[in-house]
Amino acid sequence: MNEPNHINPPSWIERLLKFLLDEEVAESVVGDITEKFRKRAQQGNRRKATFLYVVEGLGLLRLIGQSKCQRQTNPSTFIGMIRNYSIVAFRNLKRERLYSVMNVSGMAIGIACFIVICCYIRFELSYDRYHVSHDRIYRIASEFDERGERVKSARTNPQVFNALHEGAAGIENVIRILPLSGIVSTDGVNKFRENNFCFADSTFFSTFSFQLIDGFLDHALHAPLSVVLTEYAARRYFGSTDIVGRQLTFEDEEKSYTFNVTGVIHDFLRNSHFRTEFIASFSSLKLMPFFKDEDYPPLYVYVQTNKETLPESVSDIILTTISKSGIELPEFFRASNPTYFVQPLDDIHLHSNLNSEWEVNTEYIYIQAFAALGLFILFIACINFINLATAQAEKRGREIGVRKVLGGLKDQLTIQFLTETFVYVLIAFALACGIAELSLRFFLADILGNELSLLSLVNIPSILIAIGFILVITFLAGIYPSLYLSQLMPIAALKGLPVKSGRDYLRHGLVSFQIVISCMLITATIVILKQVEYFKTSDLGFQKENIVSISLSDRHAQKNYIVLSEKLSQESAVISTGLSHTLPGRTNFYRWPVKPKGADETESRFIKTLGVDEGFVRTYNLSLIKGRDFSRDIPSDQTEAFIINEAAAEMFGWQQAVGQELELTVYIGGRQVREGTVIGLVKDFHFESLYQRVDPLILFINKHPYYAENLSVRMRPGELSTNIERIRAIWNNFHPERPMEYTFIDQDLDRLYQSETRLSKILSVISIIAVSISGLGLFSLSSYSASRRAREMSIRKIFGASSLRLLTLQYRLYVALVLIANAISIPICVQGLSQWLDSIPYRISLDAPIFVSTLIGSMVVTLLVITFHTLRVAVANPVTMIRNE
Amino acid sequence: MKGSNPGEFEELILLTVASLYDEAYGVAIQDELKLAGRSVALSTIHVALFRLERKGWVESRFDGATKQRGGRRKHLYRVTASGQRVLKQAKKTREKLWESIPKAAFRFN
Repeated sequence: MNEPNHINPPSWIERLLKFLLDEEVAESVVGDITEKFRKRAQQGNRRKATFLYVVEGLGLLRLIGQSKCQRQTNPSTFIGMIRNYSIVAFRNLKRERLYSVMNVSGMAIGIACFIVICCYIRFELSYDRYHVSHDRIYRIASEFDERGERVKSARTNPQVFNALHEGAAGIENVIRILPLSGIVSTDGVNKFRENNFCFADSTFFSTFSFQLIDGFLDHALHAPLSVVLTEYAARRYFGSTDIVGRQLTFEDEEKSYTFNVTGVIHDFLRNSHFRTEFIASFSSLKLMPFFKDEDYPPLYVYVQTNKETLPESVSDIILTTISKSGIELPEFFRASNPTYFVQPLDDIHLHSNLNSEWEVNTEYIYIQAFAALGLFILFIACINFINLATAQAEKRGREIGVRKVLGGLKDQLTIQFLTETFVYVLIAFALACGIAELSLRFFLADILGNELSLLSLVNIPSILIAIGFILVITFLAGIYPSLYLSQLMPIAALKGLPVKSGRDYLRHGLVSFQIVISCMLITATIVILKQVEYFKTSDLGFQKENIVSISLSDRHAQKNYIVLSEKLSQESAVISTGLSHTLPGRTNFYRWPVKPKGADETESRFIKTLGVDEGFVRTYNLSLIKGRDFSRDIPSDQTEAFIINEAAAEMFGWQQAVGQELELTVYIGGRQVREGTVIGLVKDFHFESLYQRVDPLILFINKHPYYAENLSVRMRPGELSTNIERIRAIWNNFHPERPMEYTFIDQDLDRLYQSETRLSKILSVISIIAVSISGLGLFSLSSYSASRRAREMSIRKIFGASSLRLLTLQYRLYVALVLIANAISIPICVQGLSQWLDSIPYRISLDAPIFVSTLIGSMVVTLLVITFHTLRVAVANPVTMIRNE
Repeated sequence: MKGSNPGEFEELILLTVASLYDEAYGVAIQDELKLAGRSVALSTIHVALFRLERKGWVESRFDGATKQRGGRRKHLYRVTASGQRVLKQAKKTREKLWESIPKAAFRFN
């Protein structure tokens, strides 16, 4: 027989069998399966042979503990032992129902919480990883001077593309993406504004990986005026995805363009740092008069490197290529000293927080905080288990004693209790998966901002991780109780003598630790909730309620805004209207140079400005401290009047601001210097988020169409929707071609604190879970110590102690525990929370009531939880207790 | 006493070991049983052999390495005298019972 030597079965099976089986037995059975493997392999199918080899090899593990020389002895095999332990574990589970339910449910809730957090973190970490070459894609971001500040922006000037496009070693593709806003329509009748209509270079689809539904992605973006839609957009506009070759129009402020649909792709996944529904060919832009000299605004530039390019050298290659290329920047841009830096695609979502990001990214610190919270909860659950299991010592004492007397070894007992823990953890884990899946689906979708599911995790690596996780938890939760239980002296255990009381320190310590964590979570939750509440309710210096702001989205609306404004003023539901360039809560306030009149050029400072009309101050109810509002009747107000806020007056050092003269340089269709008088001083109002101090601000009249972007309308209090409908009717009359776009100022402002709101919600849930798990722990601890002290209490009662006295006697311990826990948690909370609060200029104070309420809350909960058992002992008839002995 | 009679599967294995004489080891037994119309997992055969050996009905030795097995020895079994006895006993019991079946018992229509 010619033996094909190159065919060999996987060797790990042999090693495994040799390790676990008797030596000679192992040799012979490995020989058996090898023989079969060779025979099968010669018949052809090697894969199948290998597979069957592994299956049979694993099957042979049944022979563990069998050996030739053992044949005379009674086979007390390892497997049998484990089987017995599992049976005992299940019997215990059934007998001690309350204990088991609490133990398993506490553990299950803890694990579920941990799983949910893991899913969330995994999701956050998965951003953009679905692109096949995600590790070779980089974004070029820029840093430059703007409005007197150095800012970092996710966008880059388009000349960078030219520099890289001309060729640099190691770079495969360079892509520009420019999102524009415009009106999209398929039939000319139904028009929708799309704010993210993207133009991208033709290599877009070879760099980013998208699943095609229809069309040819290779050529999809070559021709001018071609566009690729996502499935969602295709269904929204055409009602089907079978639309290659059909047309849609994109209308900007001046013209309308007809695009050919060249492809349909699947929707962008939720874990993409940018998402759009339209990707049009970049070459289309040349047809637009606005960009005729390739004079594009800052845009996103992505680079895909070659496979050979080392990640460390990417930044160098790109930056030197840019600096060597000698690109010609426009004058205004060169003046802003631009520099560039490179961001790996993988880092954008968690590590980049620049200006003009596609969407708000997640802060990495949140991910870390969540991971910490998950671990805390898991620890609390393990502690619970340890407490409950050691508290069982007394009840298991007899069993342990008997086992020991009959020759059970300490190691065997340890393994027994670890097996029991394993059974508990296994059940808890199964339950936890269910809880986690349900809560991810039904409750957490809106808190976490997206829908996740465990089902996507059913694959081999995650199952292995799950098994590892179960083993780790088993070890963490089970090692102490099993060592402890297996150590008991058999005689003492058989007699049912109380276990040494010194051990209680550990148990009490663990319970205190649980209370510490719970208290910390409660305090943090209270503080964050209060701070968010403070953000939302504090006096901003203007009235944010009942203001709707209409955005004037095209030139027609901007030029004729006065018509709209007058019509609106006649409407009974409207109190007043005010025009402004931007809105409170937004960030795009222009900083322009200002100086006192006649002062030297060096004294000029960049101050935030807001161009408004005469109705603005009235509409927002700004409170004028001194002076007067702008007036239509005074013509000089149009160019020669300013209203400043207190911060500005303070900056100039003016006691008497009204009447002072200023020079403001504005760039409204060219540079203008406005010389004028301060006619009014307004109280500081929070025109930015409460994360920032109120900056100096100058209001001036600016009705130039380019800057007339927002018309705020103060409505009478009352039915909001009918008011809006009336306003909409006026708009439709005014500008029938465009839909009315509007926002409510108060909602806009609340959105500034969205991430804090979300954090506070998540923290509330987590602290409730922590409190309930710790509650379970306390409950069982109290049951344990109550039963241990039952005899003592009965004797005290016989000697005349009242029930109340007995109750307080037992409470003493827990009061002490809660006090100690609070004493530990308060300094930690003060430290951590004040660090957070100090970064916010307008904040709540971290005062005593917060901590007192935590203290009282934790005390009340603790005493309530333990009362069940302590009361039972305190009011019981002493005779029954003592007779039990 | 329980265990003094072989179970059905034990009997099968015993018979196979006997019929293979001196060449009875895991794979050979498995193949033989397959020929006789019964497929059994290798591990099951080994477990049964261990049990038979503990009961003293077979004896075993390690020998007969071949190249095909990667030079590993076989675990070879042979039926012992007491093995033969229980096999005969089982056969006799069966035959007696067969004989005592009246013809009418198997007449189905």
